[in-house]
Amino acid sequence: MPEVNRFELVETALKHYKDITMETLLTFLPSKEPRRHLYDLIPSYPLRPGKGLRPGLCMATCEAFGGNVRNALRSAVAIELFHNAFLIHDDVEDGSEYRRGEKTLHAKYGMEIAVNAGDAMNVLSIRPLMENLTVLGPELTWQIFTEIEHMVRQSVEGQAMELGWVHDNICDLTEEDYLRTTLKKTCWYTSIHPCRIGALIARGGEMNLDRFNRFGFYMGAAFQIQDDILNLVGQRKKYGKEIGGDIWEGKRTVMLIHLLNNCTKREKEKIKIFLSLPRKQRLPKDVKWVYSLMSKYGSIEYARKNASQLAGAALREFFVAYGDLPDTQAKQFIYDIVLYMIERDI
Amino acid sequence: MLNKSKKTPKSRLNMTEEDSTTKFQTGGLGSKKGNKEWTGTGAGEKKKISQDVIKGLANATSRVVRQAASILEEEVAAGIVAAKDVEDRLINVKDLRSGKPDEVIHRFRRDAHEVVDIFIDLAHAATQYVGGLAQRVVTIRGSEKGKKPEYTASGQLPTLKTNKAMKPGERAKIPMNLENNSDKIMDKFGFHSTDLVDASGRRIAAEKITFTPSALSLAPYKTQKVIVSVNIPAKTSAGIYSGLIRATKMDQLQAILVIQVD
Repeated sequence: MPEVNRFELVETALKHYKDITMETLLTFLPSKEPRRHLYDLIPSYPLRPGKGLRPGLCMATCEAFGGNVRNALRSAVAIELFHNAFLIHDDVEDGSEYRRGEKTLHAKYGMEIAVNAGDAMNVLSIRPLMENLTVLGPELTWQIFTEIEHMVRQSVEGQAMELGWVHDNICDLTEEDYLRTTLKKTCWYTSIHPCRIGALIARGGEMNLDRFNRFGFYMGAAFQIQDDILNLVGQRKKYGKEIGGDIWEGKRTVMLIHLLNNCTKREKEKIKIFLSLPRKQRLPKDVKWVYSLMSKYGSIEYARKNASQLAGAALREFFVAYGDLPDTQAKQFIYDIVLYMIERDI
Repeated sequence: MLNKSKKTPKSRLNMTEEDSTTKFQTGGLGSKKGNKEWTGTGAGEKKKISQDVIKGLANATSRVVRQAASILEEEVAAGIVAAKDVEDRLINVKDLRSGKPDEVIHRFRRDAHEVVDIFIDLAHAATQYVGGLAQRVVTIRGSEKGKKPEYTASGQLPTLKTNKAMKPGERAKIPMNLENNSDKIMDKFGFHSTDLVDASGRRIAAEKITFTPSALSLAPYKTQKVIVSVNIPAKTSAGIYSGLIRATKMDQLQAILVIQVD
């Protein structure tokens, strides 16, 4: 069963990269007061069973380009800390109840404590980047800083765009709007910058990093759409978040945008009213109704098709970004992960 | 800080101090196994996804992928313009590029806090790095003769812009001087542009932008002028529109096009 092994290998490699990231990440957490309301909470999200995609991509790209994975470790840790800070704040903003199979931080400890823990994570991510200075030198450290600055800025801008759609109850959105927001909110920090930073470190700054942009965007967008699909059709135990949570939150997923553009005028008006209500006033039967419309109009199938096409384009771009490198296991991992990401059920 | 994990994962992945390369068994990209369709754990659904992906791979022009490519180019161009704007506001770039970075750095240092000082050291190093990158095979220059190529700190791209603001309905013509600094002939190549976008997302479509000549070859150590023409539609709103010009066949040869419409 070689195919099954290959599936397992991606997960094994992800676990390996995550393990070494976590080991280093934990060394950057202060061991001092205030513990109960701050430092004891910081490892909570990173230690939950996430995939570790971002540090994995960063370190594997570094290896694929002939670099030493240990040189990319601090940057991978910083990316993972930023990611977890985003998740904490994202859960607060969306009012989510579950993250990676457990209660969200704010559901467990309260809003104020959770927001502050997220802030602390953002701050803590700076230290590993500063420590790059001693290992990578000022030139490369500065370049990584500029990559991270762009990554974080794009993410918060994308998040603002998405929150704005929900806040203003915008319902006339197109696929293009979705892709642009996904690029900003997800792709720069999930896939494009981790690859760019890994290669930057491997090559000591001497390369054109734009070769990763398309690969990372297509892969990240496929990943995001698959995440949105799993939110509708996945199993909570495996997926780790509440199923249908995106409908409860009124999140403008590719499925919702497709539905709004394909349903009848009357249905659209009714959906708009549903989306205008605060989350707590939405009823289970209405959430179910929106889901049934998505099924009726083929919105989920449409999203699957888009994810597949984007994943296909990512595989094509893989050869632009990595094609000229020797065949290594790190390179193979990056290739395999594209398919893994859209076939996953977690 | 970067010690090896005490708990070695029970997997085929290993990393040691001597050999930090990750090793795990796989079919390899070049192997037959590596090229097989991946069917996952016995699910027909997954097999179908794989087939769809392979189709997507073959079909490079699916609508969603075309849209994504276009959005990416616009966003990258917008990011480079924004970075240049920040750079211009923060530091006197011309002085740095004219080879007197120490003077500027010294002026900053006088007032800088100790922590900020570290960042300025990094800025100094980055400036030197940018200078190093300026050695290119083919460069683009603005219209002024003898002017050095302009590069931004982030994207190292030159900026092409009109001397004055344009009015809707007018045709902007911007000379772009190309210089081949190598001893090899540059085979026939042309240019294309993204849509020009302003801060509010309004656009001037890419088809309004033409290049004369539309294709050219460049002999060793020769220069040639290409005119970039922009037909500004009559109903264009006032604003600063920018986009990215790229050369065919040469990924590195890019420039930012900026048009101000009053």
